[in-house]
Amino acid sequence: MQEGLISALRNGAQGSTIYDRLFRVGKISPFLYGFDASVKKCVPLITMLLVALAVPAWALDCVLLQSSPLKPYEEARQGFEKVWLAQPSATGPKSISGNTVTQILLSEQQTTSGFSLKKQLQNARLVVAIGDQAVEFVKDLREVPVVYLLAPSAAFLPKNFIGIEMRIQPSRQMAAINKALPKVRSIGVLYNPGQSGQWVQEALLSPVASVQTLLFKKFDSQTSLPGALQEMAGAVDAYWLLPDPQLTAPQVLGSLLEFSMKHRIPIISFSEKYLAPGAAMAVTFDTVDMGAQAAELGARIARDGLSGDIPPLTPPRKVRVVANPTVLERLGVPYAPKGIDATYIPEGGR
Amino acid sequence: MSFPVLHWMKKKIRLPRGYRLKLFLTFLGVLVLCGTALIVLFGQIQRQTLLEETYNKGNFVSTILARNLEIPLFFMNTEQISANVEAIFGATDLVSVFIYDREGKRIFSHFAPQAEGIAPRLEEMGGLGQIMAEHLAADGYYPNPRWRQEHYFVFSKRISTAGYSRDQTSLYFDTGKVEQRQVTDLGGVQIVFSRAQYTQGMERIIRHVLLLFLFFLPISLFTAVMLTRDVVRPLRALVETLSIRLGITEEEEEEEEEKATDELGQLDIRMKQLVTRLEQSFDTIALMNEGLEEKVAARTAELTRAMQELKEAQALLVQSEKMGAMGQLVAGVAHEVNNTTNFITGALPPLGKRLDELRRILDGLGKQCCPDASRVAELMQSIDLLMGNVREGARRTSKIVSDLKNFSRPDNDLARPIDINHCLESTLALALPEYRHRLEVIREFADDLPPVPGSQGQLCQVFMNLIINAVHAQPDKGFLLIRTFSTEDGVHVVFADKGAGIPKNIQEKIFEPFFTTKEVGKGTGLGLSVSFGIISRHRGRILMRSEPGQGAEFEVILPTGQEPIMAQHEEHK
Repeated sequence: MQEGLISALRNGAQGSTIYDRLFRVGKISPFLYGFDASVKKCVPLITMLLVALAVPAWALDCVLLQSSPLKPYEEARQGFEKVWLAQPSATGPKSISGNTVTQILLSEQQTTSGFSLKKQLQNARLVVAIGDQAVEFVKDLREVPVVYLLAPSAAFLPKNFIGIEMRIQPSRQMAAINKALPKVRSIGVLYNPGQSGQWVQEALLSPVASVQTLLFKKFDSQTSLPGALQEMAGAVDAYWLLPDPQLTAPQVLGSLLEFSMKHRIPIISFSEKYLAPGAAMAVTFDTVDMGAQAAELGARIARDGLSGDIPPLTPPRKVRVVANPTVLERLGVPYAPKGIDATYIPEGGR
Repeated sequence: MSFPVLHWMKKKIRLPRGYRLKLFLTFLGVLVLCGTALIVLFGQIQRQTLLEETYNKGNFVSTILARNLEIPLFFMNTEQISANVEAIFGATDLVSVFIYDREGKRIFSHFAPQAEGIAPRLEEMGGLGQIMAEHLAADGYYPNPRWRQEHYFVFSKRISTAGYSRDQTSLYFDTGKVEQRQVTDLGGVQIVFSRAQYTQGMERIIRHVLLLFLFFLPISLFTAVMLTRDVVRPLRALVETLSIRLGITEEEEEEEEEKATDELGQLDIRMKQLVTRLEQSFDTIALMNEGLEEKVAARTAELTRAMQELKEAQALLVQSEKMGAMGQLVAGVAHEVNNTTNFITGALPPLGKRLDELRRILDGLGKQCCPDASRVAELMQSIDLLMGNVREGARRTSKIVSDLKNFSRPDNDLARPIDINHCLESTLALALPEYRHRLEVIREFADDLPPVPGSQGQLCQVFMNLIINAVHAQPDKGFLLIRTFSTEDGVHVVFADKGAGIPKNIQEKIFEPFFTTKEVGKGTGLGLSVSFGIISRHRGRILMRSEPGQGAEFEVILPTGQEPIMAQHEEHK
C-alpha cells in the first residue's frame, strides 16, 4: 500500500500538466525504503500528517526563471531539473518530501505581473536564472541565493549571485581541438585587445604540447583585416574564432569564411551557431550539463549556504565539440571522430 | 459590246457594291483597326515587358554586385572589388561599372572589353556622379535610381553594411530575433547597360508583329468577303423573293436600284411596298367583312331552302314509291277488268247481229211463230235497250280502264310526250264521278297544245291533287275552271276555284311538306309539296295566286322543249 502511495505520489510529481510544469510538486524522497515493517505501517498516517502540514504556496523551494523558450535554455532547464529533483532535500520537513522546482517562463509573463513575481521570488529558497533577461530581472534580489547561467551579459552582480560562465578556458579548448583535429599544429587568432586581451593572455600561459604555434593578430581597425588574414595565410592550420561581436560581424565573418575557403583553413568557433555559415568545428559548452552543474551548485548552496568557498563565477565543467563534417571534408582537414561529441546536421538533413 | 450583253453581265456578275461593299469595307475596317490596335497594344506590352525585364535585370545585377562588393568595399580590398566586378561582366550588354565611396566620389571604374573604345565618353557621361551622390545623400529608404539615356541604361545601387550586434546572447545562439543593427553606407555601385540588346529586342518584336499582321491580313480579307457574302446572300434572296411576290417588273427594279444603291435600300422599298399591299389587303378584308354577315345570312337561307328541298324530295320519293305501288295495283286491276270487258265488248257486235237476224226471222214469220207479236216487239225493244245499256257500260268500263292505265303509267316513261289535255281528261274522269253533283267543272282546253315531255302518271297526280284541293276548298258546291294554253314558256294549266282562298300568312308555307289546313286525319300535307316537286323535276313551275275570300288560282307551267330531270337521269342510267 505504501509502495502504491509512493508510486502514485511519484507519478503525480512527474505529471505533465501545465500546473505541474509551472508549479512542479516534488516527489517523496525514497529514503522510506530503508525503514522496517512497523514503521512502514505508520507511513499512511505520517503521510497524511505531512500533507496537512504541506508547504504553503508562498514557501517555494526553488524557482527557475527562464528568459525564453530558446533551445539552449530549454536544454539547460531540463539538465537542471533532472539533477535538482534527484538531489536530497537539505533540512526541515522537506527532507522527506524532496526538492521541488517552480519554473517560470519570463517571456510569457505579463509586464504587469512583475511586482508579484518578484515578491514570489523573494520567498523562494533558491532562484535559478537562465539567460540574460532572467538575470536582469532578478539582479535586485539580495536575500535569496541566485544561480545564473547562459547569461553572457551578466556583470557587476551582488554577492548572492553565483554564475556559470560561458567562457571555456583556452587550455581546455585547445585540448579539445587537438583531440578532434590532431593534424592542426598552428592556430591563428584575431583578437580585439579591449575585448579578448585577457583571454589571449590566458591562452599564451596555457600551452598545449600538440599545438606548437598560436598566431595572434590584433584586429583594431577595419582595414587591417585583409592584411592580417593575408599574413595568416600559409602560416596557420586553423583559425580560432573568439566570442567578440566585432569579429563575428557579418562582413568580418564573410571575410573569414572566404579566407577559410580560399586557403583551406578551418574555422573553429565558440558556438554551434557558426557551423551553418561555414565554420568547421565548434568548441563550446554543454548546455544540458551546464544546467546539471547549476543544480548541483544550487543544492550545495541550499545545503551549506553561501559560503566563501564558492566562487562567484564557475567555468562550465564540460566541453562539447561539434563538427561540421561537410566543411571539414571540403577543406580537406582530417579529423578524429573520437574527439567529436556531435556532428552538425543542417536543417532539412544533409 | 452591245447593250444587252452589258446588261446580262451586270445581272450575272455581281461585283461587290451597295450594301455588300459597305459591309465588306466596314468588316475590313474593323478588322484592320482591331488588328492594328491589338498589334500596337501587343507591341506596347512587349516593349513594356522588355523594358521591365531590362530594368529587372539591371536592378538584379546591381543588387548582386552591391551585395558582393559589401565586404571588399568595407575592407577596401581593391583586388576583391575588381574580381567581383569582372565576375559580372558576363552579363550581356553590361558596358561599365562605376563604384563610389560614401561621399559619392567615383573610386573605381571598369569597362567591358567591347566598350573600351567608348570608355572616356562613358567616364564623362554627365550626371552619373550626381545621381549617385544624391542617392547616397538621401535619408531613409530611397528607391534605386535608374537612368535611361539614348544609348544606355544606368542603374545605381547603394552599398551598405550592418554593424555588429550588441546582443551578447546572439553571439552564441540563434535567438530568432531580427536584430536592429546600425546600417552604414559604404558607397554605391553604378552599372551601365547598353541599349543595343533592348533595341534589337524591340526591332525583333516590331518585325514579328508586322509579320503577324501581314499573315492575318489576307485571312481578314477572306473572312470579310465570306462574311459579307453570307450576310448579303439571304438579304438579296429576300429582296428578290419580295420582288417576285410583289410582281415587280425588271424595269421597275432597275428604277428602284437607281434610287436605292444597296440591298438594304431595296429591301426598304420592298418592305414599304409590301406594307402598302398589306394595308390594301386589310382594307379589302375589312370591306368584305362588312357584307359578310349578309352573305352568311343569304347562304344560310339558301342552305335552309336546299335542305327544305331535300326534305321535299325525300317526301316525294316516298310518295312516288307509294304511287308507284298503287299504280302497279291499279294497272293490274285495270288489265283484268279490261280483259273481262273485252268479253262483253267483243260479244256485243255478234250479239247485235244475232238479235238483228232473230228480229228479221221473227218479222218474216210474223204471227206464225209468235202469237203474241206485241210481246215480242216489247221484248225486242227491251233487249235493244238492255243491249244499249250493256254497250254503254262496256264503253264506260273501257274508258275507266283506259283512264286508270293512263294514271298508273310507270315513271320510267317520263320522257314521253304527254298530251296535257288528254291527261286532264283522264284525271277528271277519275275524280269527277264522286263530286259530279256538287262541282261545276269548266274546261277551256286549247286545241293546239304542244306535247310536254314528262311522266303522264306524275302529271296526272299533280292535276289530281289540284282538283281535289279545289274540291276540298269548296265543301258545299263548287266551281272549277280548268284552262290550258300555250306560250313561249311552255304549256300553262290553270286551276281556278271560288273557295275561301288562301290566307296571306300561309301562302309561303303551302308548298312545304306536311303543311295542311285540313283537319287531322283528312289531309297529309303532302299534296302540294309532291306536286311542287314533280313540276320542278319537269323543269316547270307551279304558281299560286289567291286573295282571301276570292278563291285560289294555281298555274302549272311546263316547258315543252326540255326533258325532265328524272327522265334524263333515267336515260343516263
